[in-house]
Amino acid sequence: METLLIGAQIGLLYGPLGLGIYLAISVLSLPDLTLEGSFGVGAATGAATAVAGFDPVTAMLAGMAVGACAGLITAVLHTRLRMNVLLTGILMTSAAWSVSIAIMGTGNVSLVRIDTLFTWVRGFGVSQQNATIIVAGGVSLLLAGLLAAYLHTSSGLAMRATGLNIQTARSFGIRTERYQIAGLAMANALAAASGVLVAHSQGFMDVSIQGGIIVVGLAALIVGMTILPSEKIIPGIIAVLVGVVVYRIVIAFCLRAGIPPANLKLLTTLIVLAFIAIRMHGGGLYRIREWRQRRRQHIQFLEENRVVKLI
Amino acid sequence: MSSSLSEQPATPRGALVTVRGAEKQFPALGGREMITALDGLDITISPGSFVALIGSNGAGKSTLLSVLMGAQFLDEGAIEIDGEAVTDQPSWQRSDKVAMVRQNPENNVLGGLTIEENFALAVMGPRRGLRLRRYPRAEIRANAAAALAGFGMGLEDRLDESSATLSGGQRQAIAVAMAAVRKPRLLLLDEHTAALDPKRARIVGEATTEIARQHGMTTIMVTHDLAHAMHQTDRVLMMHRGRVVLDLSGPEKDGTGVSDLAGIFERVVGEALPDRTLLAVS
Ligand SMILES: Nc1ncnc2c1ncn2[C@@H]1O[C@H](COP(=O)(O)OP(=O)(O)OP(=O)(O)O)[C@@H](O)[C@H]1O
Ligand SMILES: [Mg+2]
Repeated sequence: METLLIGAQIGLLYGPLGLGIYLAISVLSLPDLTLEGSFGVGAATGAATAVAGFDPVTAMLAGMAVGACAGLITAVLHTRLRMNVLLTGILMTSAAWSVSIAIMGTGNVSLVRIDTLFTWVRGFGVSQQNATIIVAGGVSLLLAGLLAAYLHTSSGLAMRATGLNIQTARSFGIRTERYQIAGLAMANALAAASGVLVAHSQGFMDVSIQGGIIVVGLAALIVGMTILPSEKIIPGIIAVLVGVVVYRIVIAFCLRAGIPPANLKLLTTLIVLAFIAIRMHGGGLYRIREWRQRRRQHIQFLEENRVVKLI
Repeated sequence: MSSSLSEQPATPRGALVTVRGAEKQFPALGGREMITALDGLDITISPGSFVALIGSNGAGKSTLLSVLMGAQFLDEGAIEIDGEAVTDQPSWQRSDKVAMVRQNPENNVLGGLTIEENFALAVMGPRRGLRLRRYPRAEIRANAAAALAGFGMGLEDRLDESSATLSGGQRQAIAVAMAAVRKPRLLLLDEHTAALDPKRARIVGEATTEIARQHGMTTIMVTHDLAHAMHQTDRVLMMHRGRVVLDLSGPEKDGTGVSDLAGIFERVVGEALPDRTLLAVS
């Protein structure tokens, strides 16, 4: 039970990041790695504004705004300079590291004795762990609700169309480049919200927290889509939130079982690979009876495989 | 079909579509050579007419329709639709005037959305109605059901299903129905019945003609079915190597039989007709 709570506690902090990944990858079909950088600059902004004496909600909104700007830059580079999104994201994430240091004026800041949403909830006599679950869960659910509501409007429908087939969407009168720009800004604002949550909950901010964080979001998406496969919006959003919590619970169990924390990244990769395998092959990976069919499916995959040019 | 959607203004005088000196080339052989798809093409189409566009494979028919839709842009030349110069206008801006049913069914209907959502976009997009509220569901559903009923494929009862599960022919029927509820000034059909079985092709073909005539939509229909081209339309244009090589209308068209047309086609193209065309003639 304790392990489940630890999993939920940390997982929910990454809920908004999962939502951002869902929006960028599942809805817009844009593999935007800028989310990792936005997580960092969001956390840096959230920390710097909190230290400067702003209230936690303002700090959160400021972090999200800076994240949205990062997404905006990526989207404009993609739509104006026609740069590949993947490549742009890698470059932006690298730049974000320096931007985070510039925002904070230093590589790390301490947020001890600074008011955050977490300390505010603890003021009601709630334990540290429950406070984290309440705040992170509340923020994740609020943002998930807003995202789901938006995607059900006509404008949100147009954004989904943009991610499905640009040519068809445009012939329906949809100005696809605008939806890509708005969508990436929203996705990066979500990732930045996660950054603020993580920085505020752990009581300090170090630029290195952004390193490799995109994998957490991807894991959330893949685990979620495996548990709850659906093309619909609300199941998709629930899936990604469930995914991030399940993923952290698995990690928590592994740590409890005595796996050293240094192996965490290897562990994450293995978890993601395991879920991808389950997703692609269903339960029985090596049942002899279906060998012929699997072989056919594999050849089909090779037939349909396509090369993607990065530059 | 409900008429509450986008009422059209009275038909203006003069041409609905004018294409002047249209040139379009594509790089081939890794960019070392250029293929000419449109070669100084001139076309004028009057409002309300139903035009068949025929020609061999690679004649430039799809390219011409793409250029009219705004999915591709000319190297040289000018296009005017409904009195507006649209040569450099992106397709999303033309969507209130022009609707297109493409050759490939995958590109006509969005697979990840339900049929209802596809209709919602087809109606709300050109209306500039993509706002932060939900689309008028009852109205969209009523329109979609009415438009789909004409095809007799039972699609009107499947509005909530994901369109990813539809067959190519079903997608084409939906595409025509979506174009119909938009009531565009110009309807572009690129072999829209080629993916359908013969019976269904006839039903969809006839339903399309009826919809277009009923709403007075100017229609350009690409087809390889010469009999369909002769019998259902007001005018037949034959393209070859990016030019219009034959323009039949009025008494001249009435005096030409399908076999005469097939003869002209064979002479122009200088090669045997594809089997499908011959079948249609016999
Ligand atoms: N995107 C493209 N890239 C390169 N070449 C193209 C492209 N689109 C068309 N072409 C070339 O332009 C010419 C005209 O093609 P188009 O698709 O307009 O022919 P079509 O008349 O529609 O033929 P079909 O009856 O086979 O559909 C062809 O020679 C084709 O090779
Ligand atoms: Mg074609």
